[in-house]
Amino acid sequence: MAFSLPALQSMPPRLVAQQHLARTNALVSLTDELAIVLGPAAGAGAIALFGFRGAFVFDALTYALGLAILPLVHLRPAAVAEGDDGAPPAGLRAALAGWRLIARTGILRRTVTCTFAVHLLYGMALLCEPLYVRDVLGRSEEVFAALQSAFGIFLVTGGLLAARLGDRLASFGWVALGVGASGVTAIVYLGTPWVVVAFVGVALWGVATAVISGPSRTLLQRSSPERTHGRILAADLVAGSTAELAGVGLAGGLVSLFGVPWSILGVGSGVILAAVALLAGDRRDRVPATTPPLPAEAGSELVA
Amino acid sequence: MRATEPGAASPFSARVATFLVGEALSAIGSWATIIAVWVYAAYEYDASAGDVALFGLAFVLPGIVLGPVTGLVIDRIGPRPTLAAAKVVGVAASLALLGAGRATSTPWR
Repeated sequence: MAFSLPALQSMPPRLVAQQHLARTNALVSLTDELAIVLGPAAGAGAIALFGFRGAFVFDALTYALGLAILPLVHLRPAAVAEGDDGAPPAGLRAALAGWRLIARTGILRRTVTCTFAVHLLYGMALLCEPLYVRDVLGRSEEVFAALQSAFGIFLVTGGLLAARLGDRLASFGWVALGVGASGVTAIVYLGTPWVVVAFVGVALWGVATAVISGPSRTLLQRSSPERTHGRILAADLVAGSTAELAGVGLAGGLVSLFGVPWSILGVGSGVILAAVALLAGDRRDRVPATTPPLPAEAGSELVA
Repeated sequence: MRATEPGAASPFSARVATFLVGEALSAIGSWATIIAVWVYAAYEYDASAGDVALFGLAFVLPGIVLGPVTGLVIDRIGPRPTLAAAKVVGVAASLALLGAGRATSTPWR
């Protein structure tokens, strides 16, 4: 997944016409969102029918199917940006050029920060959810499973909505709004003692999550040279994965001190404030959405 | 299927739609395996909570540690060959898991 996810996410700009980019990104996200909902069921079904090895065979077959379909995909060559000699990037400095570009480009920096904030909440939720259902709601593992299902169903619903709306969601304002909504809905979900409110919160969290995913990648792609998309999207993945790990650790410390509702209120409020600050920053230094020139070190001249 | 000019397709063209369905199936297969591996470890190998947590780390850490390398590889050889190679590795890894049950020595025993 470390290679396949950013590779898949790098394809849409070279796969479809520009006016279809946002919608295609939303559909690429939808493939993952469907997997979150259907994957566990498929795994459970395969184990029930064929034992553990059934799930592994199923996985191998789906990989092989994906491999067989891949030749259908025709990508145009990556556009060579101003200042890029077009030679393949190589070397350590070129490897880190994606991070440098993110650090120096406002819209990229803000979008990756949004990824970090949203995944920090996911990481917290990973640890908080079972404890919350048991200790705050006082409900069984069936209720926990039902809440997970509600999240998944509304995640897919949100993904379909994002695909339907396409370019209309592909702005930093919508991404920041989605991040803020993630914070609010996480607080509603994990901060309430009422199970009905928890279901409403988790469902809306699913929608907010889906709305962020595709548009944030469209922003990353449109704000960076095509020949750096792999590095930019891999960096975004690193930010998300690191945040999830940090979120689990953070939750471990906070929940033992303050319990789930207060912990999620604190971190969720921080995420909301971050979304507002990022939006204000975007409004402040808004510039025409042009692709910045490729930094020299992203090209081949960096071969050390 | 009618060929389209590279890079000018619609997401609803037959080729792109087929590709996206294939990717969805691959992702579903991966999630199925994640679930299976966790359960497999717990029931077949009687793994402890710490052992199972290691699976979670093993799942997330490569994405973090290899991030700069994966991005460079994608930009150097292109996303399609990278994705193809990742799928070949995915097939091999899934088939390797088939043999895990036959192993006489495991990290837990």
